[in-house]
Amino acid sequence: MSGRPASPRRRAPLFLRLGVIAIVVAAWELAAHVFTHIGTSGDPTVPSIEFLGTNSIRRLADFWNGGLGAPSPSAGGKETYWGAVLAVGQASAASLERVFVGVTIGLLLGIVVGVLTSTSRRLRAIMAPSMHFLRMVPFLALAPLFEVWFGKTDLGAISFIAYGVSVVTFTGTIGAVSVLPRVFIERAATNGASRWATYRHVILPGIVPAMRATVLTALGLAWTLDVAAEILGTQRGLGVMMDYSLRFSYTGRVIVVALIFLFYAAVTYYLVQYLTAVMIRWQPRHEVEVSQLTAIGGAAPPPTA
Amino acid sequence: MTAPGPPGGQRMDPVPVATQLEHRAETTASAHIRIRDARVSFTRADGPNVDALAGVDLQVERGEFVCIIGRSGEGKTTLLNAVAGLVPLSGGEVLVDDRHVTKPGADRGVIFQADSVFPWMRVLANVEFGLRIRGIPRRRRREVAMEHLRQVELDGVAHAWPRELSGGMRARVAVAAVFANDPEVLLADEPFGALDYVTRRRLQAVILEQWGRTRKTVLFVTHDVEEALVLASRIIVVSRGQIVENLPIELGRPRSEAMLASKEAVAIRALLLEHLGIAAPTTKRHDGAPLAAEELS
Repeated sequence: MSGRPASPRRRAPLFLRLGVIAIVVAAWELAAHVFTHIGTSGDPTVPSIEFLGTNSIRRLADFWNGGLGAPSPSAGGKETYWGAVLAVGQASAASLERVFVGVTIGLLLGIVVGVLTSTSRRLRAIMAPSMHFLRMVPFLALAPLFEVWFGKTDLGAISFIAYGVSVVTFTGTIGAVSVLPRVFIERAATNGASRWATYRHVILPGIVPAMRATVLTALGLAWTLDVAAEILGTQRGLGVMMDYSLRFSYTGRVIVVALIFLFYAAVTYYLVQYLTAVMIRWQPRHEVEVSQLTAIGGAAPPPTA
Repeated sequence: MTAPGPPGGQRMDPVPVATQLEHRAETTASAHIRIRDARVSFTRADGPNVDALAGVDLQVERGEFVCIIGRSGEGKTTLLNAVAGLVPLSGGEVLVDDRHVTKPGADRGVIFQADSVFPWMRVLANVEFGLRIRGIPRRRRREVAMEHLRQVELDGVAHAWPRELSGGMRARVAVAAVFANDPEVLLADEPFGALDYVTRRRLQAVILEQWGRTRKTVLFVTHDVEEALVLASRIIVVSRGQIVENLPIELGRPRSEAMLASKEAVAIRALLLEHLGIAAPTTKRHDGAPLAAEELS
């Protein structure tokens, strides 16, 4: 009885998928040649692919402070591709670290509090309304608050990401537990399972499929929150690159950094999907597809009444 | 090395132990399950208080196979859940082995109406679950689980995922899981209700075989008169939260088609159908003895 792969099974043919990307790129290039307006910074408002691939990428070296064989442009050095790679690498490390730490803390917090809340009537009565209220507050509206509280530090960005992830994970966990058939918990009880054993053998494994969708949603949110936090209040990171590029209207660099964000978001998304596939190999086929739809649609599982 | 004796250096006398046990058996010579004036009520969302159980008295002897039948929503499942400890009583008491039932426990195994096989555990792990909870060492519980899978002819799929099994096979996994845990009392809540006729008959045979071997005390809820006739040593009819019929079934075992077509069986069937509101009412009420067939015409 080998486990079936949990990856999407009905994919469009490769040439179609690549074809769509080619059309988007071609349309962009066409737009660059139609709208030739040049912004105040000297960057075209709609930069061509060639401009993005040369000028915009190379000039990201502006964010490199020198060393490792690449001069610091701010100290009068030359902007080099190597410098750009180093600058992007350094910023990426900062951003990835924040997302990783923030997501880890947020997930743990959200799952633990969510599971405890959904299995305790009293706790649910206390927690659920305020948590659902927090869920309704736009996360980005709170970003300045975190900047005020934590200043321009990593701690501020990480706690902001952890906050957002934990709220989404909490509501997702409540939803996941609420759709877990009650008979499983009753069966555990009639086997004499303790509360802890019920969490371990029944509730936690039982909510994995729904939680997988929530985790993927939370991961997407984490990248959004990371951009917001870095634009508002940090000294380094991809978001800082984007912020400075925006301020000086370097449209091309903004687009390059956005594409880097997109790349990381996609890579982490598929990485989590791949790594967690083994956890849902027991699922019937149609359920796998439903949970994937939920994840791709970006909708959190429905909150409980 | 001899076993340590009682304080004071007195010798252990084997005889009084046996007498003690006999004495204990006499003083606790009561039914395995005793239900006294059990009441369960809840408030319906639209206001009124509903008595799911309205004062049930029932005694079940050790080793009896009691089928509970009744129309849906009349309290069969609530009665079973009260014994399982899954619903709190609002009055009366339920005793199993002279102990008050206050919560679920491993001494009362339940085969649920819904599919209760954990989809995230392979078949073997599902059957091992109860033993694992009780802290039985891995090797031992594997042996026990495999033996019970063999008894339901599923040892060949021990390492399959439940999703790879048919509904009937999963029902057999549930049966194996409950018997592997060796409960004192087996509670079954329409366990085969969702299955096709042939599968249901096979599973009834499996249950009877297990019961024959272990002589567990069984409470078996069903809406199916035929199923009750095949299985029960006693049939109880529940209506509006009360027991309205308590009928020993003295048909032989194994129950052949001939036995199920006997006059006695026909009379019981007619009586049960009447309780379920299907047959035309007979002029005479049941007085404890089976009705004669001509009385029903």
